[in-house]
Amino acid sequence: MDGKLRSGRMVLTGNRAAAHGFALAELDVFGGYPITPSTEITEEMAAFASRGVISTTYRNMDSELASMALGIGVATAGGRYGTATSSQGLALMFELLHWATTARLPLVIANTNRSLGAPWSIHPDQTDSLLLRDFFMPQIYCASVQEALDMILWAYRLSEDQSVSLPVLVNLDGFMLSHTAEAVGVPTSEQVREFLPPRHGRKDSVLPGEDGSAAMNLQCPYDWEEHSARKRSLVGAMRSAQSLIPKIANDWQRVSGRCYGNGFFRVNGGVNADVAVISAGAVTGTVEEAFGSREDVKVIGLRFFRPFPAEELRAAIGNVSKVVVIDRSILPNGNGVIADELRLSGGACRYNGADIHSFVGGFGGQDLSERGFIDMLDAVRKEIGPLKKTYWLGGRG
Amino acid sequence: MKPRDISVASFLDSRHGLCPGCGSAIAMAHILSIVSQPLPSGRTKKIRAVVVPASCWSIGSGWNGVSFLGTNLVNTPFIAGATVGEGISIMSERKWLADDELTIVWAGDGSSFDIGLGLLSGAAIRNANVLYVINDNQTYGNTGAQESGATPEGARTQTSPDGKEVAQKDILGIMLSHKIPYFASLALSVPTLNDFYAKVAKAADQKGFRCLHVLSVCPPGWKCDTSSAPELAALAVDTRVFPLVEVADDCLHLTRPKRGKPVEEFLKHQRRFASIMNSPELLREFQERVDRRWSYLLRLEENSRES
Repeated sequence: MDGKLRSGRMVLTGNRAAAHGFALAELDVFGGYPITPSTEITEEMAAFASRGVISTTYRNMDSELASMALGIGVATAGGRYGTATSSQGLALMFELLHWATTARLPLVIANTNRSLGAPWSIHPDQTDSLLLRDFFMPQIYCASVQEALDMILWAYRLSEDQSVSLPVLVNLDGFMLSHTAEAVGVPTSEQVREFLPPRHGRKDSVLPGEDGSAAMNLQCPYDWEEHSARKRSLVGAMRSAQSLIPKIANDWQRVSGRCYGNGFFRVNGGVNADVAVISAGAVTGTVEEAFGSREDVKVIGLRFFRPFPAEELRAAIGNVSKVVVIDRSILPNGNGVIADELRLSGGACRYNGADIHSFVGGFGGQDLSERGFIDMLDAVRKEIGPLKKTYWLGGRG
Repeated sequence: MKPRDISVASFLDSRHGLCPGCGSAIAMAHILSIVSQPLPSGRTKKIRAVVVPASCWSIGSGWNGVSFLGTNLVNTPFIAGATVGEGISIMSERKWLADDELTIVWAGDGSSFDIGLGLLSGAAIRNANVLYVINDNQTYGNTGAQESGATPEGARTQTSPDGKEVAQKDILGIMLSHKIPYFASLALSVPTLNDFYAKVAKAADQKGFRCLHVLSVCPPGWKCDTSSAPELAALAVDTRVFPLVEVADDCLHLTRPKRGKPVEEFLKHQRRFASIMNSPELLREFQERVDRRWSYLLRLEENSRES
């Protein structure tokens, strides 16, 4: 028993960084269930708990559904809960995760992105988490190992704010981040406590304390007016999250010294850009490698998909004439999810006056390379159209 | 113990939405009353919450945030009751209140035998500090009486119009295989009052995963008279259709009925068994199943005494 979580610079994989985030968040309970590629988060939490590095109650669960059920119980009793999963596990949580969102129960799930079958695949894409795009649940996409740690802490801060009080999903790409080691700054517990205060539950979603208050009937049936009010308040909760994110980014910078801009996304290059390339997750790093030093291309890495920062993106893309979106997901209407979201918020094929060019790929282990992105940009500049089309990166036409 | 010796503390409020003659309603009133009294050890516990997975109680126990049971209620999806209860109880443990606060999960047979069996298994094997009540009315009551794993073989339901064709699940065997500290089956009737009261108090007094398997007469599902709940519960015990079992400290104890009766004494009051009552062969088979089960339990009792 070494009894202390180390802080300072160290080399960690994305999964271990996420586990450090959970450890620093000083959870009451962590529910563990293994699934590739998130397993290492669970193993690390079990190890931290067993060595007494954290005072969290660790439980081996019997499925991801049970992990979510445990989280509902812990959060209802006022506790802080976390769990980690991927793909099929996230899909199995669906019923109870939706319940947790609408019951306004804060908790955090680290989702190590992996393709949702069929066919069987352990490779990363974003079809698992983006399936939940209609949930009232903030969704964060990490672009680096450092973010995997930091975003877990942001997630608790956002989740537990009484005006939000919703589960938050933190996504990190399977293997590309989860199993890739990078240098990470691990904050001290004191720094984290300054940023993340103890949880105070919303009165309408947690069991009353020992003060003899009247018995509560949580999540019972209501008349239509109260039921509608609860539905509407979910929209309000997502709006609150939207206004809170820049403040969280700011507070985190004050505590950790790391700058995350407005919090919603990161922007690189493109001082005199006519093209903005938008993507989410680890692929952002590759896009930055391809274009990061160029003045004519602005690279935007979307950190928050929910709430979707449509207005903030407008300001960030400025007056470019083309927006290129790289999606690692596909919808029944043929769009990638982020491109679809931009089309919804900006008109069918234009956003902020710029043409939207949608590219999808990265399924089943397809390697998305810098060369591929450079070719993509050449095509966009020279020959591409019509704009409503979605282009598949590489592969069989 | 006679009915006049009992005063049931007022938990179940008259606004509750359960059916006339519901066996589960009276079982709830008695159980909440028993667990709130001083327990055999002298300790008194406070009910932290009653967790209610989807069931008749989801719509019957309150409305607009008001609990008709006078205790905190936590409604959950059908599958999740056992583990949500576990989560609540872990928080009591973390506040050093594991001996003082009681988390009850009140789940139906559909929730326990079928859809929630996996999560029930997990909570049981982790020995979650929960009093888990299986409110067994042998059917999916809230949806209008469809076949569940607890429905007796041969009984008619809305989804087994010709009578259930497969065996009734052995929930005793399932729970025993989880090595839980306490399991008891119980029925609320005049001749079984002592048994019922003692088992509930004993279960509430302990820690860890305790399972009470309560037979709940369901007049709409069983197609029986709405005034028949206590008598039918007594007959289920006397005919050995519902054996009263207690398992604690690796010992199994069977409560023997005062006067054994043939199964038709229980079956004939319920139209769900009409086709069995109309067929001497089906009736004989039903009796044989009950007899086989009883002698199996006697052997278990005998063996557990030796070990």
